[in-house]
Amino acid sequence: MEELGRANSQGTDGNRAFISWKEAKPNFIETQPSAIFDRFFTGVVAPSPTTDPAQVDTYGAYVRPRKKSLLDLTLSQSQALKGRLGSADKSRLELFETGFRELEKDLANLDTMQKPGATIGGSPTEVAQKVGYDSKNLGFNPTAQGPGGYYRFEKERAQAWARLWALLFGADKVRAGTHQITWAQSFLDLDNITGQTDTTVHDVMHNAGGQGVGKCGSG
Amino acid sequence: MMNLNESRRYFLKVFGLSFVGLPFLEYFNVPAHGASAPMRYLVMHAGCSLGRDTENHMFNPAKTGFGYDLPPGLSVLKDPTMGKSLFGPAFKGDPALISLISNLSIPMVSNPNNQKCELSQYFHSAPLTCTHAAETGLLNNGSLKFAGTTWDNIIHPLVSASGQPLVNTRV
Repeated sequence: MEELGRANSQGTDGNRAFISWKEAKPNFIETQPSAIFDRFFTGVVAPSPTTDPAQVDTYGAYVRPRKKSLLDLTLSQSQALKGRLGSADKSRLELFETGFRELEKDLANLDTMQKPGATIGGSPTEVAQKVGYDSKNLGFNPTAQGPGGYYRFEKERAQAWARLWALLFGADKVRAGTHQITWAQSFLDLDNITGQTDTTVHDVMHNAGGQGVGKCGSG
Repeated sequence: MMNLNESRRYFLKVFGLSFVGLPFLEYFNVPAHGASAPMRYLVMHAGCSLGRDTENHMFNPAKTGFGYDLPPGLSVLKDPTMGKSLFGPAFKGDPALISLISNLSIPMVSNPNNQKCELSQYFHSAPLTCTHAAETGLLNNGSLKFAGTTWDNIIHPLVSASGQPLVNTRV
């Protein structure tokens, strides 16, 4: 089977990085939506730093070479086509173009945010959210803030992945896959999902301080 | 008026020699009338259990089986605007198109001093292995290596008749 992902470990956490196995062999995981986008739609293959297994999962290591929108390259042709379509098909084409352009904006936004040395702006709480800190306890997870931190920009990457998976299925590039929404010990605030502002994803798992009664053995 | 199947052929003709891979060529490859669309299969999970979600039910449905309820954390699945997303008419915001898997067993080892599930390495990152590993004994406690095949790899060849790769991604 063709290996598409580039991450084969999570730093020193070894097998915890893997989400899928075939006959005891773990499948590679891709953490950067731009790498999968380019692999299928531009033909550009992101570099795979296999020479240093401890660094293969480093976020921001892939700077995309393509800057121009694929839609812009075909703008005149799509405009001509719209003039020949019925209203329903025209709406469908426009829906597709809107979603595609939103995905390209997501990827460009991630390129900027994940660029090594990039400054993260906003209030302390906003910065904490973007780098993956637990907003109740800033600094709880220092590994998240540095280059290659596991939890950086979870919300932004989740949005890009959602749009990209829809496109992969719609374009019939992929028919089966596994998608992990957060990595282990995610400190993403539940405010993004349920509206709770004082609880993180990790809290609903088993960490002290979260709501509910802890219960190991089922999940 | 031209329909989208015709428009696809138009695009192919226009861009047949283009160096750019145009995704919408396939996107508009709608099956002929009466033919079924190819099946897609995606397993989505968070890298954690919901062991503390037993009181508030933010994610764990109170009712399981057909007609399961959608707690706040999953309410987006019944959002009618989902049908207007890039998924288009295929999804329609219908939760019946999604299987929700809950109450998986997490492999445990005896350790009275550890209240956080000794083998959390697995449910943290790989829910696909949880019940499977516990019931088959394929989990090697010493090395934390899974010795089996997860169900995505079982489904993949059944639905990917055109050779599409299995893709594993993480946020």
